[in-house]
Amino acid sequence: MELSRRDLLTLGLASAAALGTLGGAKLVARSLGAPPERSSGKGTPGTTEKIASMCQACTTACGIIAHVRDGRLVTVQGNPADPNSQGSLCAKGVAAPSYVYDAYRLLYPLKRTGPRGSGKWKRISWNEAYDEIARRLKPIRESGRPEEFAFQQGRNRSTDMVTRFLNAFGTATHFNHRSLCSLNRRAAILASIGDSDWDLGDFENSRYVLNFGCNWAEAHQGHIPVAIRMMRAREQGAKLVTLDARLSNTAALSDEWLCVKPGTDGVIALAMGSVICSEGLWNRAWLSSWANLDPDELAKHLAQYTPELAERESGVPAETIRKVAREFAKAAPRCTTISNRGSHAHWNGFYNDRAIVLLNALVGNLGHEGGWCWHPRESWDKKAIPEPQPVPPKPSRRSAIADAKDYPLANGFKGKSMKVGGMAYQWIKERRQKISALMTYNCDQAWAWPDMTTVQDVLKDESLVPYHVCIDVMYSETAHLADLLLPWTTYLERWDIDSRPPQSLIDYVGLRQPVVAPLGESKDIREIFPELARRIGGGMETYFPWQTTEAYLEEYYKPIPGGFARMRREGFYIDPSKKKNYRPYEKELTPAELDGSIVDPQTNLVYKGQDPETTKPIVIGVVVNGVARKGFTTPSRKFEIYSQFIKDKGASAGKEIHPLPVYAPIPDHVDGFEDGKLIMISFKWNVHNAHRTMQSKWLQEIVHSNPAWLNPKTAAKLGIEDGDWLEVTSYRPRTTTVPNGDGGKLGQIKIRAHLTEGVHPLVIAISHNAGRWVGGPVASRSATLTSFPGYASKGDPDVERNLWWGNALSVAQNALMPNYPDPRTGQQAYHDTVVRIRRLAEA
Amino acid sequence: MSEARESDALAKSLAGIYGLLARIFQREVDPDLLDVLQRLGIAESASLLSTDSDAGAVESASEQLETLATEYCRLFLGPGACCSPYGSIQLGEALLGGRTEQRVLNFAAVAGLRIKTESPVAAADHVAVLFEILSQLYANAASSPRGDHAEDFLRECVLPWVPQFVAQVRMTSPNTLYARAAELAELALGNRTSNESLPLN
Repeated sequence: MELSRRDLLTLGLASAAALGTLGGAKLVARSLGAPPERSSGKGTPGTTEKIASMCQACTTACGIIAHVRDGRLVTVQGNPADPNSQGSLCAKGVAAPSYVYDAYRLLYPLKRTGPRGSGKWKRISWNEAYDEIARRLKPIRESGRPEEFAFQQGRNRSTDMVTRFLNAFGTATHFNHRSLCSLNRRAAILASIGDSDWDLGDFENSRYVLNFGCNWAEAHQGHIPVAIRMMRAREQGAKLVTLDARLSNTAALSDEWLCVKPGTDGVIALAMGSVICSEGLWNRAWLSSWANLDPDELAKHLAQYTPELAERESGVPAETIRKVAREFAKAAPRCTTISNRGSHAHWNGFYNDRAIVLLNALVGNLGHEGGWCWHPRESWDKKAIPEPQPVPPKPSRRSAIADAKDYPLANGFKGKSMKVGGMAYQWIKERRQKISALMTYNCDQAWAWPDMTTVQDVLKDESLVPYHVCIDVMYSETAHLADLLLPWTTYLERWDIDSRPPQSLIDYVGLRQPVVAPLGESKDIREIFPELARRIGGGMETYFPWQTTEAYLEEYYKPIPGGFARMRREGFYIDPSKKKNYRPYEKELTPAELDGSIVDPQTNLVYKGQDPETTKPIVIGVVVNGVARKGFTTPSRKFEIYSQFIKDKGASAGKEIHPLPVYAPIPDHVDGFEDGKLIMISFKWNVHNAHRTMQSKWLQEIVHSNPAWLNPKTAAKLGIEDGDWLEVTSYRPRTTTVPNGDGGKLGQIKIRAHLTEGVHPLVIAISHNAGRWVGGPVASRSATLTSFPGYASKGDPDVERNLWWGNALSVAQNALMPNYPDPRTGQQAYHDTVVRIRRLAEA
Repeated sequence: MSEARESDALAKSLAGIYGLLARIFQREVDPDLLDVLQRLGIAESASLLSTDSDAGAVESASEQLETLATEYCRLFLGPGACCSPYGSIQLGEALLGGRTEQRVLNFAAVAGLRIKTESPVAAADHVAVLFEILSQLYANAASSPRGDHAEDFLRECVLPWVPQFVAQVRMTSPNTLYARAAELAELALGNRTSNESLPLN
């Protein structure tokens, strides 16, 4: 621009004059003596206010106390008032400021201006965004086919609001990530005890904890609440034994690590059960009273699973299996198992966890202090603290995707509809159900889900997904394939009523509250959904009568002594009259409960009244040793070693599900491990959780790379040295029980080798939290250092100068992961993929 | 023209230019702003409204505005803004806001100004905030000579990063309206009431 100083003067004066004709808000005003508004925040300027809230860096939802100075979040500590986490907090929680003040957050509604996936956007106002979404959703609702609106969630701690919105809309096409997470474990527990789908071992009172593949020190859903109790148990002399294919940090914190071949935890548990039976270490009296299978029949069934068989299958020495079985039984009833994806995220995972749960019944530790416990509530007491009225009814129309009929145990348990979200995109691709609009929320399935190429292809295809709204804090691979982006608040800028399965065995309720004002124009769904409901109309709006979220929560917390104000102050409430949920099945039925009841002499079941829907008599308990007790909430009111229910469910879907805990070898793992073939397993680090933590500089500085773990013996056979580049090729499962189970080639990556004794010789272990490509300049890196669309690190000196790990390897492991569901439940088999590795001369 | 009158005129002029720059960088171009820019000769040709190489193709006014909005988003909003408009990021702070924002807030408070809470920017160290503060300080300096405030603000909060920011805009988005705005900012920053860096002609 060629301008003289006189030109500048002229232009400036003309600009000043022209500015007067321009409308629009100014950013700066005269202060008139008041302190600057932006720095005033909450509390007194210059002082640090401490605000109780709840974390959501992962799903554990630990209590936090946010330190806020002049409206800015300074740091976060654990809240001792949280009955679950009791004041402890992990690194992910401490990193809270790095999420709020991430320079690459989404802060404004953005509308796509180029082709889907082009990365071209423009800002629009919230008003425009609401209008556009309502314009797309309203005809779907009014068409009479509301299920054509699909909602995909990741970690959702606003369950009340999401459910209210979707039910008010009328869609049942709501998929979550449970089949990628905990479905098998939950189904195995439900089939056995009925009361709950989540075990809560009483670890701190336990003397022996047998851990089947749960990485509680790093990534378990109960992470901190479990970890602090485990450490207390150890201080008191408890023994911890961990079975895992990899030396996780949990295994490292244990007294013993038993290195198992993936997918064989079940046969080990059955062999331990066999030892316990054959050596008379069982609690025969408890089994006789409370199990639905005769102990001798059980012993006969288990006899086939010898420790020698388990050794051949798993690699764990038979003598070790015997020793651990004896130790476990000797500690009863103050002993417990814990399990997670290491045991159940397999093609045979449902059976594996059935066998693990059975171990507890064998020694009679169920519900005992220090034993294998549970709580019927996975969140707060919803009878005592009900949802504010009016509550919309559940959708009347079904969703072919949510029904997941191919997997009979996914939705087979009453009141526990778990769905099979992992298959949703495959089913959309098959056009099993028409989707007219998709809303994704806090989920990066285009990067994080198995068979991610299919997910991406579906999201790119406007004939399959004509409209896609993405709600998230940060840009993601999924957001990249959306039509409209809504900037979501971080968990430090929004409200929730929340709680988790109570590790102390007494239910509680917590409050998540904004500790700072939302950055930019980000909003929470508690503001977005009511406004959308008002614009969609048609009666939907009547379920959102509250003017503000505070008004809604004020009503929600009314039953709490001290109400909403108390919750804002303290963050948590626990009813002091409630007792720990020890041995709930032994509870005697009261005379009032027994009044008018009938006992079936054949089954000893106690019936009272009639189900108005089914007209069947209602079971309220069972007579055990002459006393009418509550029992378990299984069909037999006993601990169900033999489950006719799951057998029948399987038959109804044309599948055979064994009613007893059994071992089913993974078809692909039986043989064929030659020519560099291995089993790939995945894992998470203690500082990462899904896509959300990967843009945190603080956390990425701690863990930012994911080389492939290989056992040195395996590496030596294949001529691989530490640091070598590898080509890893994955294959789909070769079994007709899995979609596309043709054994064909699936994906290929290049990665470096990390040699360690801490992994099974048949295994290659690659961590999950890596290999993003559009998640921001801190999150997005790769093995090949290719450029990423839309992200220029130049101009951000902190990224340029201080991202010292910028060249570190970071590979998307999910590129190798097929859709691999357990045929009984739909649970993704994360640890069963067969791969072939080959050393490369160079990258 | 006396030195005082000249200084006063320059201050008024700078107030106008910084006000205009504040508006350009604060949010997308709308029809009113486009009209002003065209009248001022800053957006006089179609090529300045397009980032495409075939800018000669005739675009409607709404298409031109959409093209500019997309470019604004790419440069300043993201995802992955190419030219972060925040001082904290430009200066290499680990988090948005922080010390750089606090310096702006402190200075604004001393100068009797406040940043509106309803403003669409995420932190007070946004370049548009800085330009608007400069505009107000120069406007005040013109009416009652207090140019030292503007000079102090420039030295403390603006010059440490805004020149590199506008250079970045010029290079990242060449031949666009935003490159012209960046050049205008460079000229303005080079012309101060107390330090005449350009000769009068």
